[in-house]
Amino acid sequence: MSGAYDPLMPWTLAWLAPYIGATVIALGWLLKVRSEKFYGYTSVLSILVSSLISTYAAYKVFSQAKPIYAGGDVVWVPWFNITLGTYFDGLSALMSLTVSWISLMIAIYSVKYMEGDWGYGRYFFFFSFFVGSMMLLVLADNLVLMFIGWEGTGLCSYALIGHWYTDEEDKWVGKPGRYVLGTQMFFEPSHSGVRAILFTRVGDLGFILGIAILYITTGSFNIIELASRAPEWMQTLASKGILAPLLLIFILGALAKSAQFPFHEWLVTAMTGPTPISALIHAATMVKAGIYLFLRITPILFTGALALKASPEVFSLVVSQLEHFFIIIALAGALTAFMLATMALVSDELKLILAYSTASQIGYMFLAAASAGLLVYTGAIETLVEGLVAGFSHLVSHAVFKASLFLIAGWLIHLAHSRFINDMGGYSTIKLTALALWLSGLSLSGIPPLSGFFTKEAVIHTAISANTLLGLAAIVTAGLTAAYTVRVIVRVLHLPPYSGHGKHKVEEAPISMLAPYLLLALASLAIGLLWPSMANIYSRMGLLTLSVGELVHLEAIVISGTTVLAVLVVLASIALIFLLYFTLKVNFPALLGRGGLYSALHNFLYDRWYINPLVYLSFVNGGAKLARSVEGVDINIDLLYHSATPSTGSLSAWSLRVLHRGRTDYYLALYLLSALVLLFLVLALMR
Amino acid sequence: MLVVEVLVYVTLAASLIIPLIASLGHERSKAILAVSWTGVLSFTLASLIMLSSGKPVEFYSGLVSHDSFTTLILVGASLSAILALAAVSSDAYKWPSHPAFYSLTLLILFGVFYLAGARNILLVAASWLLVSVASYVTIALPGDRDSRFAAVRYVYVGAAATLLIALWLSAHVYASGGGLEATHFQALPRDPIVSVALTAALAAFGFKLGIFPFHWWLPSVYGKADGRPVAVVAGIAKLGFIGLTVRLLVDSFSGSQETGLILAVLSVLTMTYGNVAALTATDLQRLLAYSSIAHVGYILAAMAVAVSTSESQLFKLALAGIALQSIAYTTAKTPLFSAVADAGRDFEKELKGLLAGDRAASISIAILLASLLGIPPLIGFWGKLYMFIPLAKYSLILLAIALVNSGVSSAYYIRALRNITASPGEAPSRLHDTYRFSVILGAFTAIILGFIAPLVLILFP
Repeated sequence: MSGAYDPLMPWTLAWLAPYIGATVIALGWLLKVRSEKFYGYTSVLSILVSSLISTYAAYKVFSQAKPIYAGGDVVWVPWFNITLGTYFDGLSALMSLTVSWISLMIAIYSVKYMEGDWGYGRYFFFFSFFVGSMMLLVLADNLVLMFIGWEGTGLCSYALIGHWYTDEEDKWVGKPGRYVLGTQMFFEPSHSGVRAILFTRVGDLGFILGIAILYITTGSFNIIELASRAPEWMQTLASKGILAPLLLIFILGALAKSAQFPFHEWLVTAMTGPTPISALIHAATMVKAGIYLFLRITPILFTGALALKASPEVFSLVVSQLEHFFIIIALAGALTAFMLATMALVSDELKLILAYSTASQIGYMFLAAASAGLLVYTGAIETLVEGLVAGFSHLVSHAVFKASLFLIAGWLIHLAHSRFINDMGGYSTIKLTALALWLSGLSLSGIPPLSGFFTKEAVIHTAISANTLLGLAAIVTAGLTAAYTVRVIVRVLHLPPYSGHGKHKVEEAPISMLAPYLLLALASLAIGLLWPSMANIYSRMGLLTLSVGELVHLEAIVISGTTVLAVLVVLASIALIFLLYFTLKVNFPALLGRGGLYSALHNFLYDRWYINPLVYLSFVNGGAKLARSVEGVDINIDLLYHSATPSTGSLSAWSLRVLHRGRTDYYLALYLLSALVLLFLVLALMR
Repeated sequence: MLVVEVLVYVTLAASLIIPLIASLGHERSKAILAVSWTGVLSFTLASLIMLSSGKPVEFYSGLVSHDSFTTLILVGASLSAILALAAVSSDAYKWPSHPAFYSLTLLILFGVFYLAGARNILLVAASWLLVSVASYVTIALPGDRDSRFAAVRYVYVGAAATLLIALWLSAHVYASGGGLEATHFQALPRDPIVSVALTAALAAFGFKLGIFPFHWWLPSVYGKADGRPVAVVAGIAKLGFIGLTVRLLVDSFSGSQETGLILAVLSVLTMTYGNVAALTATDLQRLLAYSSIAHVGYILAAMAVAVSTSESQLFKLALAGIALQSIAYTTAKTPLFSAVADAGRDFEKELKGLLAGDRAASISIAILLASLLGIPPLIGFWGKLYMFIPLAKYSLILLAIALVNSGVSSAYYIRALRNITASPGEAPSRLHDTYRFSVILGAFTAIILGFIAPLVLILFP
C-alpha cells in the first residue's frame, strides 16, 4: 500500500458518531437523566451526523472517481499493522449511505413509537451502538476492525430482540402452546435474543477461523492489501486444495448473519423485539452484513482468478475450486429464497411473514453474486459487475421497501392490538398507510415500475445466465413472493377480520411515524422511475469498487423472454390471490379445520419444514444430554472424594496406628528393618 | 531494581503486620484494611515499574527474573488482589479468624512474585509451598461447612501435587547434571528421565491449574467453597502457577514436538470438558469453576504452540496471548466469584432478575461475562485473538476445536446473562456496595485494557 491517506476526520465520524451517541446515552442513563427526549434526540442526532458524512463521502467518491481512505496510517495494533482505517469505495460508500439514512428514518420513527416504554434509554443506547457497529463493519479497512463491528451488531441484536425481556405473552412470536415433535414453536423475547446470538455465533466461528487462516497465509488483515494480493494467496490455497473449503468456512459467518439456510431460524423468531428493531435488523443492519461481506469478497475472488489467466493450469485449478464455492452459495441462496417464501405463504403473523420474506430476498442477493462468480471461467468482467450490481441494487431496493413494510406493520399491530393478520382487516380507510403498503408491497412483489421490479429482474437475469435451473428457481420464488405479499395486503386492507377480535379505532399514524414509512414507500417508487439514472450510478459503483476498477455500462433493463415469463408468473400469482379471496371467497381457517392434504401441507410449512425441531433435537437436546452426563461423572468423582478419601485416610491412619504399639522393642525392630531396606536401595543404586 | 524489591517487601511486611495488629486487640480496626491496601498497592506499583522498564529485570543475582510475560502475569495478579480486596473490604471481619484473610492474600501475592519469576529450583519449591499452603488455609477461612470441606479436599490433592513437583525437581536436577537452575534442562529426548519429568510436571501443574484429568478437585473447591477466598485463589494464586508452568515447560521442552502434541491433546480434553460440563449448570459459581477449566484449556493450546514452534514471532504471540488471556481471566473471575458469594449463586433463583434490582452491577457482570466469552474489543477478545492466530499455523484442527469450544461457551454465558436480565421472581437481588464496586471496577478494567491490549505486543520485541 502506498500513497497519501485522507485525514482521520471527518470520515471516521461516519461510524464513530453513533458510538459517541451511545456513550452519551449511557452517561445520561448512569446519571439518571429522566427526559426521554434526551435519549431519542441524542440517538437521532448522532445517526444524522453519520448520514451526512456518508452522503458527503459518497458524493466525493463518485464525483472525484477515487476512493477515500482515511486513517490508513493510524496504527492501532502495531504488531499486526492493524489500523483505524475507514475505506469508502464505490460499494462501501453506497452501502454506508443506505445503512445510515434508513437507520435515521427508523430512529425518527422510534422516538414516537417507543414513547413511554420502560426501557427507552436502553433502547436508544443499543440502537445507536447497533448503527455504529454496522457502519464500522461496512467501512473498516481491515478484517479485525470489521469483526469488531460484526460482533457489535450481534450483541446489540441480542439486547434489542430481547428488549422486552419480561416476556409478556403479547410480545411472543409463534402461536402460544404450539409444539412440534416435542419442540416448542413459540418464543419469548429473552429466548429469541439468545437464539439470535447463538445461531449467528456458529457462523462467526467460521468467520474467525477464515480470518486467521488468511492472516497466516498472507501476513495481513488489511482488506485492500488482501485484494491486491489475491492472485498470490488464492494460488497458494488452491495448490493445497483448500481454497474452496477455506472460503466456505470464511463465509459461514455471512450466511449465519444473513439468515441463510441452515441458519435462518434465528431471524424468524427475532420478531419479538420492538417493530422498529425488526425494521432495523431486516432493512439496514445485521442481516445485510452477511450479504455485504459476500459482495465485498466476490470481486476480489473474481479478479484474483482472472489475474492468473496467464498460467492456464493455475487458472483452471483456481476456477474449478471457485466454482465449487460459488455453486454451494448459489444453491444455499436459491434454497433459502424458495423455502422461506413457502413459509411466508401460510404464516398468520404479520411480522413473521415479513421476516420470512427478508431471508428469502437475501437469498436472491446471494444467488445473484454467486451466479456472477460461477461465470468466472468466461473471464468477462461484465458478468462480475452485472452480478455485483444485481445483488447490491436488490439490497438497496429491499432495504427501502422492507423498512417501510416493517414500520407500517408496527402501526397496524398497534391498531389491531394483535400481531396476527387474521385479527386485522378493513384498514383501507387509512389512505396514506394503505398507499404506502401497496407501494412497498408491490415493490417487493416485483411489479414495474417500482424499484423491486428492476432489481429482481437483474437477479433473475444473472442467475439464468449462470444456470437455467437456478434462474427458474428464482422465477418460481418471485411468484411465491407476489402471492404472500398480496395476500397480506388484501387481508389487512380490504377484507374484514376473520376473528371476532375487538373493533379498535382506525386512524393514521402520527406524522413522525407516518412520514418515515410513507417517504420510504415513495422512495421505492422514485428509484424505480429513475431507474436509468440509478443504473448509471451502479455502473460507476462497479468502476469504483475494490478489485473491479473497470467501467461497465449496464443496460437499465434487458427485456427478454425471461423478463416476460417472470412478470407473467408474478401477475398470475396476484390474480390467483384475488380469485381466492374475492371471487371464490375461500374460508381458509374453515378449510384448515377439515384436515386432509391441505392441512398437512399447511402444517408442514407453518412449522417451518420442521427444521427448528430438528435443530433442537439434534444439537440443543444432544448438547444438554452430554453436559448432564459429564456432570454425572463429576458428581460421582465428588462422591468418591467424600467416601473413598476419608476411607483411605481412616485405613492409612489405622495401618499406621497399628505400627505404633508403644513398645520399645517393636520400634527398634522397625528401625532396623527400615535401615536394612535403605541399605539395599543404596547398594542397588551404587552398582 | 532496588525500588521494586523494597515495594515487594512492603507487601510482605504488610502481610506480617496484620496479625500483629489483631493480636494487639484491634481485630476490627480499620488499620487492618489500610495496611492491606498498602501491601496490595505497593505490589501493584512494583509490577507497573517493571512493566514500564520494558526489559527483563533480575533480582538476587538472577535467582528471580521477570521478563515481559511474567511481569504481565504479576500485573494480572495485582489487579486480582485489588478487585478481591475491594469486594471483601471489611466483610472478612465477620469470619472466625478474619485477620488471616488479609494477611494470607498479601502472602500469596508476595509468593507469586517468586513463583512466577523463580530461576532456581529450590526457590521454585519454596514459593510453590508458600503459595500452596497459604491457598489451602485461605479456602477454609470463612469457617462454614462447605469451605472447610473444600479446603480438606484441596489439601489432599495439593499434597499429592507437591510430591509430584518434588519428583519433577529431582528429575530436573538429574537432567541438568546437578545444577539448580530452573531453565537448564538438558536431558536427551530419549532419556527416560524426560518422560518421568514431563509426567510429574504435567501432573503437578495439572493439579494446580485444573488440567484434565487432574482437575477433579477444582469444581468442588471453586464451585462450593465461599466465593471470596476462591476469588483470591483462582485469581492471584492461579496466575502465579500459570506463570511458572508456562515458563518451566516452555524452557525445559522448547522445540519438542512430542511435548507440543501432549499439550495439544490435554488442551482439547480440558477445554471440551470444562465447556460441556458448564452447559447445564444453574449455579453461577459452579459455572465459573467449569469455565476456569475451559480457559486453562485455551491457554494449553497456546502453550503447545510456544513449546513446539521454532518461529520467534509465533512464540512471542502465543506468550502475549497467554498473558492477556490470564489477565482477562482474573479481572473477570475475581469480582464474579466475590459477587456470587454476596448475591447468591443460583442464577435461576437468587440472581434471576438482578438487572431490575441492581442495574450497574448487572451491566458490569454482563461485560465481564462478555470478556470471558471473547467479545471485542474487551480484553478477553485480545487474549483469544493472540492465542488463536498462532494456532492457525500450528494446527487448523486445534484452532477449529478451540473456536467450536469458544462457541459452545457462549451458550452458558448467554444463558446466565438471560437469567440475570429476566424479570425477577419477587424482590430482586442487589449487591452490597463493595461487591458492586468490585464488579464495576472489573468491567471498567476489561474495557480499558481492551483498548490498551493491542499495544502489549510492543513488550515482546
